[in-house]
Amino acid sequence: MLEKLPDVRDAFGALARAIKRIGIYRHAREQHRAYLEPALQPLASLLMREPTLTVQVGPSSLVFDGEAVYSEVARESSLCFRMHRDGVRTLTFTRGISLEELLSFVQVALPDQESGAIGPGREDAVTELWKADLPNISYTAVSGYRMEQDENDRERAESAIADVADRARSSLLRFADTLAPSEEAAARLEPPLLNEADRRQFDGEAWSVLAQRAVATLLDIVASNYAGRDLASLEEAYGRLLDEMIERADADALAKALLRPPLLPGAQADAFRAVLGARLSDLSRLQRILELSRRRSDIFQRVLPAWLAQLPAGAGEALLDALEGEDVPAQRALVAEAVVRRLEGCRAVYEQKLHAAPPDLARALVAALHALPAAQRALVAARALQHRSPQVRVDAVAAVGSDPAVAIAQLGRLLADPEVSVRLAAADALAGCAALADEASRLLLAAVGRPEFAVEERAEQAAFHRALGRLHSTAGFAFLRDRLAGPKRRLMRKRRGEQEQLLAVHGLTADASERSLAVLEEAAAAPNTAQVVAACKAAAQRVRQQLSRRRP
Amino acid sequence: MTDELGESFDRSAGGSTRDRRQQLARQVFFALHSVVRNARVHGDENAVFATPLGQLQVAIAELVSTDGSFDLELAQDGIYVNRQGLRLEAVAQPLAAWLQAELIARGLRGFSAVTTPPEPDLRALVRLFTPGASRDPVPQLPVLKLLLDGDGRAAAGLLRSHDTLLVNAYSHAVFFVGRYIELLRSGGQTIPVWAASRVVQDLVDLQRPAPLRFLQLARTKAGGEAYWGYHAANVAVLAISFGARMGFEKRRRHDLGMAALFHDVGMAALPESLLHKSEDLSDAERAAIKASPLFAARAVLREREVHPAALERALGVHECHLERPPGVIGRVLAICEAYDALTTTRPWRAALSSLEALQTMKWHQFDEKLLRLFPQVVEHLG
Repeated sequence: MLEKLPDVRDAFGALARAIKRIGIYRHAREQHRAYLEPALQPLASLLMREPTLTVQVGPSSLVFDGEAVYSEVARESSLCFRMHRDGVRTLTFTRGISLEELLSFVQVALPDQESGAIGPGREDAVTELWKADLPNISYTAVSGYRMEQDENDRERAESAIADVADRARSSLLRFADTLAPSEEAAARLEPPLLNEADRRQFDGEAWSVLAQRAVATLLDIVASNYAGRDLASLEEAYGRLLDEMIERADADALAKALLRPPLLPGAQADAFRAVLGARLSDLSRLQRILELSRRRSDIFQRVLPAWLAQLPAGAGEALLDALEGEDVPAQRALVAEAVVRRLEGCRAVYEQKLHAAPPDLARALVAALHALPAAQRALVAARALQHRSPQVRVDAVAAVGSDPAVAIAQLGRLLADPEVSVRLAAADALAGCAALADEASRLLLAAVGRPEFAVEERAEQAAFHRALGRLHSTAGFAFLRDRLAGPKRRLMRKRRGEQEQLLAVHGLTADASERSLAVLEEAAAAPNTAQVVAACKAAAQRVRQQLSRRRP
Repeated sequence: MTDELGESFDRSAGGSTRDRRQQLARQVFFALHSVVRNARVHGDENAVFATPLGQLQVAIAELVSTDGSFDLELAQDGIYVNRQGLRLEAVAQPLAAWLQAELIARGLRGFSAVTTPPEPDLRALVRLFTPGASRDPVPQLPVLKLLLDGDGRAAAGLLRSHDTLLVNAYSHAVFFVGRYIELLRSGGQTIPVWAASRVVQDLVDLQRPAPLRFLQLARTKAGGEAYWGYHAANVAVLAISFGARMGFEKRRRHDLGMAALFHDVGMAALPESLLHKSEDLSDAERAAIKASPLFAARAVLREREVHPAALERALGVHECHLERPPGVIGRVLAICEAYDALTTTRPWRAALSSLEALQTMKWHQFDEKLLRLFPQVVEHLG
């Protein structure tokens, strides 16, 4: 025996390596055969010399002829821990073993996945080996059924079992012994009642179908208040079902499983939902569902909204973490909106992201604020006004503008932002602050009065003047009227004066009131340059039209 | 044949001859075991048989040349090769028990040869163990003589041994369910599911060699609180038999048996007085009984397993009580459950005969196809 020892060690070493690799790439099932092939050859060649090979299974080792031929203390990577724990005590490999058989064996020998990992759970190793029915791998397991819990229980159990056995034996004696051996032999040979095609209809249903019905049953139990002390176990079972559905990317099952909990009646429903919510907001699960949703439109459309809707109020930070690196705009927007619905629990982090997140994410976070009341939206969005990206600042300006008080407090400095798009957005936002028109006008007038403003693009200057006009403020109107009236005639300022008059025409047109019409008509009749007169006439015409439309 | 006989034979043999015979006997045993196991899944032409048949031939040849003949005999206390008891390590004992059961199931008590059997003889041996092959009467082989249990003496002993295993598995099934319900009621730690799985594995394994004897176990009845354990075990016996008759794989028969054991554990949620009430039930009591399948599902789902077998079990125990069970397990169990319940005396009525039960079941909503087949399964209980 001892001379075989190195070969046995080699064979089990190769098998252990293959199992370890398969364990790492558990879900790459199509690769498992290739991983296992190197392990078959040493075992097969060993069995060519000896027809059988029996090893004893210990908790951390396999023993052949009194010597350990495989040893692994770490349970999570041991090929024998699970089998020993479940009662397998010996394994016998016989000549003729095939790769297919070894593959089935490996599925049993694979260590359990780490706790918290996704997986449907398994039957015990003995049952799995028994069900695998491998022709060249047999096993022995601990004897007896071990249904007793302690010594007292054992005596009671033995007595009860003996009583049942007496009755059963009596049935056999009375009835079975009247059967002729030929009847038993004939019964063994009776052909199946179903042909192959009919029998297939009774094969096990697909996991997805079973899981959907199991979810329905489980929720029925909770809804009927029958979960009792098993509520936690049922919550865990439901969670595992969801995990497995995610693992299988089963959109249909997931959508159905997530549909009912929000509507669940019963005294235990809230507790059930709370645990479900916590599970759904686990970061690794969030990342997984987002990853699936990126690839599968059905999951994005049917599963993700239902998933996000069931997250608890405290899930905001996890969602923000999950948003890192999210590159699908529609998904980013959906998740960001889900965060905003849970803003109270993550406001500091949200604001920090508004300020410092990559531009795409920050813009999505700004956009998602639309669901908030105007004042809150403006206050939160103000954090994004300091973002380095002009696009983010532009988006933020619009959101800040939704509340005049915040806009007045925050947007004045942005009228001097280095980026023209930001300055224009700020002017536009302030133009919308009719409730605080005087304050907004003051900010715009200050901006227009800056020396740098005179050299800005004409389009920007016009936009600022229009903003002033739209505010209809007294100070703004006075400024525009005076500008149109023109400077004192001095040769050096003639050209500049005409430009200022034309800008004032823009502003008065935006004002679009009776008073601005009067000023424009007056200027059109005054001895202004032909260009100013033409602009005033055209503007007056437009204002008249607008006024006539407004009149009943 | 007794131990002493074997030992006296051993003592009379020379040490080296005895050791060599033991080696050859082991070679014969493992080769035969491999042949019988493989015959369940491969045809006799399959290359998988080349090695074990070769080993068998070589070992028999050496035994014939040394002892003048080859005789393998099954006895109650083990396997004998040329009247020397085969000694196996404890770990290989279950293999021997399995092989014995397989041979008995075919009415064999051993083999005998005075010359080395040729390959066609050995291939014919494979066919003998191929499922579905006609073996009635068992065809005799030209060289390797089959020792048939014609006089019945050896076979009777072995059948008794088979009965002991049957009774043991059945009584543990009854005990498991009764105890499980008791523990559920008292809020104690329940017996792990794998314990039931072992029992059901044995029931499935024991059904095959003696299907009629196996079925007779379903005649074992009890009333009172013990009813639930017997009822569940009987439903398991009926469901496994039904599955076997329909040609289900053994893993499916196991799924049926497991679900059967758990199908009424929901009764643990009901007051005992209600379970044994002989008067009419109130609406509230009816509602409570109607809820029990959900409690059965809860008992299975609390294990938190979501692999297909566990899900089918959870669904089966619930759905078998519904009018039109959507799942396969539920449909089979619904029929077996109703049959056993009807053929058992209950506080509110006497037991029906098998025929009466089958007649009564025709008026209820079972899977029509399965219901048409079921009488053929239980005809020997009539």
